[in-house]
Amino acid sequence: MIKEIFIQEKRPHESGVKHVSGHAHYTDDISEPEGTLYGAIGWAKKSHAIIKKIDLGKVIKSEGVIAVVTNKDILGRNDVGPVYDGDPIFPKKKVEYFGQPLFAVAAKSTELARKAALKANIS
Amino acid sequence: MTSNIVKFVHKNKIVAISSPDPNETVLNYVRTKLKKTGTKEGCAEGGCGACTVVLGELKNNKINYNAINSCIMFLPTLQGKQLILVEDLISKNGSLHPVQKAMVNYHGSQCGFCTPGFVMSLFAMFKNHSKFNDNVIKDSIAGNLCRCTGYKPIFKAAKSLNSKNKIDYFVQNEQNTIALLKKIQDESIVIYKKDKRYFAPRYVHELKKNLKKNINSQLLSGGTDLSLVVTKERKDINSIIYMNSINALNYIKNNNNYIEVGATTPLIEFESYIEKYYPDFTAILKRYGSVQIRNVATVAGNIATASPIGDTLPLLLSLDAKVVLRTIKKTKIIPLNNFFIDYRKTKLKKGQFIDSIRIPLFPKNIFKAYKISKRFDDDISSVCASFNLEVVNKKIKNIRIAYGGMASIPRRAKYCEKILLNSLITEQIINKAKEALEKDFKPISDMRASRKYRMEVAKNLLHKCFLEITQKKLIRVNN
Repeated sequence: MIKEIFIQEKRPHESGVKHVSGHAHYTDDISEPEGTLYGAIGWAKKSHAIIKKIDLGKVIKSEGVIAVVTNKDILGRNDVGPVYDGDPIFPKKKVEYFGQPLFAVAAKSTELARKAALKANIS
Repeated sequence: MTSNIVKFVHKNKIVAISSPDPNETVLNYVRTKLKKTGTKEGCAEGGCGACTVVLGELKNNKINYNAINSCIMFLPTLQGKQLILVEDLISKNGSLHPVQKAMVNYHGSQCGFCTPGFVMSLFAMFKNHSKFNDNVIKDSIAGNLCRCTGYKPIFKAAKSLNSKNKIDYFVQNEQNTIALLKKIQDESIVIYKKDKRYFAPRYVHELKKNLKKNINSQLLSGGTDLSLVVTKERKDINSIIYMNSINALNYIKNNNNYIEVGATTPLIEFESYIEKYYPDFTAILKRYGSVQIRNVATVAGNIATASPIGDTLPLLLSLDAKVVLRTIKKTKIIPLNNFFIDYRKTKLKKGQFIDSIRIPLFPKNIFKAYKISKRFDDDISSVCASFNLEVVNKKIKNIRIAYGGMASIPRRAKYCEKILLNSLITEQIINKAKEALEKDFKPISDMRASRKYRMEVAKNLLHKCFLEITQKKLIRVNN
């Protein structure tokens, strides 16, 4: 007979064994198909600031970079607030916290993407 | 023997890598080359512990199991060691290690991302300690961050290991592993890879030779600071000389006048040795990074890095420590007090290396050290203060006070010392000494503390030191 009631019973996490043995796969752990590009995010270095200009010239020219994405590439609604608005994917005018994503880079390797993302000139 | 092939033991085999990139991290190698993705990248700066792996290192015919942060360890430094990953804890028949079982049974995982790191820190604890009391457990996992499960279930899992049989697969296989490790002990590594160079001498004479030919090399010790140039600034370090393979510099000696610590002695060994002489030194070291950091970091590295908030530095300054510097031909001993020039600038010249540090013993003195940080464990100091003095007939003698986080370098508080020297301990004198700190230091405001707070807390720590002395008791948060 299959037991159906588990109330007030200690049961192990269904993925517990996978977690403790390193076999639980997170996105970054899945083997990538041939030709996959790697992303990196360009973060704000100020906690509260007005964005005047984002110059990605050096980022685009950086080794291994295939594409960059900014708020201009978002054709639809630039907001992912799950309940209320106020959570832009990439803000247009105002930085609201340190480390807020401002743009994204796709490159041939994680290393190259991360290197490139640091080369932005933001004022 | 010199070789460009880095060899280490993994899963009962010797793995050989010919001329690896000296800037590649162990984490990157494990995840992208070995394709073992259980080890995670979190902060990439040795702060969160998600990347924790354990290294088996041969010492006195035994294996020490050291948890380390693989995200800030360069691949060639694996030479001569055993690499143990979270996946490797599972036995051949697929059963979990006691540490893994405990983590499942006590619900130690939720999202599971930090779990492999915790498992490895607990595994190192399981191997290195015979009993797991509260302090041992807390110290062992202070370098691992969890943001969802909470630490209580993990703590309980660790506690439950007290009743477990300590004979695991690694004990059963130890002789085999030792035999493998012995085969790969004696090699010095020299790598030329495109425009990058890497040297891991085994002996001081080799180090001198490497230094002579590669005068612009960066000296690498534990690398817990230097490696961030690669992992955070994303720059290359073109020429590295790795110090920690030199066993002759890994020692602690004591001649009853001073303790001498060799340049490659890890902090974890120093912290237990120094406790007998200066208990407060050990108390500060317990809060110096995490076990993963202290397993590789050294006193010499902390001195050479010369950060204004390096936590051993004010302590060593107040103890009037000396630095033994060597070049190819000469040995020079200079007081640490004269070693720091400006922000991260020292008297260490090109072609010179730190051989050892001498810490005088003051059997008659009172030594106290305090660290103020936003979080108790594994955090960077806002202010660190250290006091070393003798009290003779209620008068203050032989006093040295040093602060970290108060100037561009860790520094003695000369004006303050002057007020106190040869004075009776009175409230009036203490107040005058507190005021003198304003002459000694002009601290800055930054993310860790404001200028005002730093000055206030520096004064209060001085006050606290004398309260502890006059009331003959310790006033500590965690007692």
